[in-house]
Amino acid sequence: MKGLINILELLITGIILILAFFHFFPQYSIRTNWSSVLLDLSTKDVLNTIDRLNKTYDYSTDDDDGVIDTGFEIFMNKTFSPEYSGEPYIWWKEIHGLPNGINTTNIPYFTEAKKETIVDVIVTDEFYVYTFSLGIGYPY
Amino acid sequence: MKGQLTIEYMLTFILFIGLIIFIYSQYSSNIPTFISEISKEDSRSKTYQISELLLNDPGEPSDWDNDISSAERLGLSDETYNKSNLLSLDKITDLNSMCPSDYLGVQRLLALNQTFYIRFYNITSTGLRDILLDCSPPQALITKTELNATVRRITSFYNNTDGTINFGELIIEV
Repeated sequence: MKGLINILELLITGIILILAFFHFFPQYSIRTNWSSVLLDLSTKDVLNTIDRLNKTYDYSTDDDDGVIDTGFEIFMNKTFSPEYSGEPYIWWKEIHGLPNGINTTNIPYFTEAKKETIVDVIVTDEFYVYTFSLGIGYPY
Repeated sequence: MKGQLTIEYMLTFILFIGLIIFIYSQYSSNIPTFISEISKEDSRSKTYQISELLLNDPGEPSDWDNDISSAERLGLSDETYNKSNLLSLDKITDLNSMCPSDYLGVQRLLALNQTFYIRFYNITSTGLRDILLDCSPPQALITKTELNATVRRITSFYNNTDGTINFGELIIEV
């Protein structure tokens, strides 16, 4: 009887120890946000690059809606060609504040995407302040 | 001398020690993975920092491309325009000519203590990549450790000769 109690104590202690172990030291898992941050960084880079190339207005007024032979689509296809980037990307644009209204290409389905906006000014017959938003993501 | 320990006590003690060893081994098996992940995180941070430095800083002095030996810090940003994501083609070509002869000097200017790769591709009108900068370690310095991090940055660059602005891709690997 005395021996049985010792073994019983061991089993109870063991169960308590294992439960405490898994509670205080959960299974080690690696979580990193680099993929998401780099996607955001790419979106900002592309938006800045379009602006440095003085193409913001041109790409804003492309009435392409995903048509592949317009300036914006050609630029994006060249930049994010899967052959060089190693990953498939999807993208879309949204323009607000130009006289022809909102110009938004169809937003494709995505698993994760980032959108950045740039404010630009154009003087044609009038003075317009408009926004050009670019979304880049991974396809669904 | 009568026996002081019962067989049940011995059995319990051995099982208890076994349990402690099991828990310790389970926990310590995570340590190598943890150390490896810390190393990767460190490389990712350094890669990102170098990409930011090269992309958005003109370097010190800002016209170091006129006299490469005067460079104290590298940066490829065009000092005339001083805008983000606008590099100087002169600095890109100067870094390209500096790397093969003085890779360790470039490493020192980037404050790195490990091998790295810097490449810059001009994205042509047909979408092909035309390499303008290839800064890779010489054969003697290449180690078998796997590259831990790669950062790709899309950027424009200014050609001082003909006054045009084109765009390309800067790739940093550490």
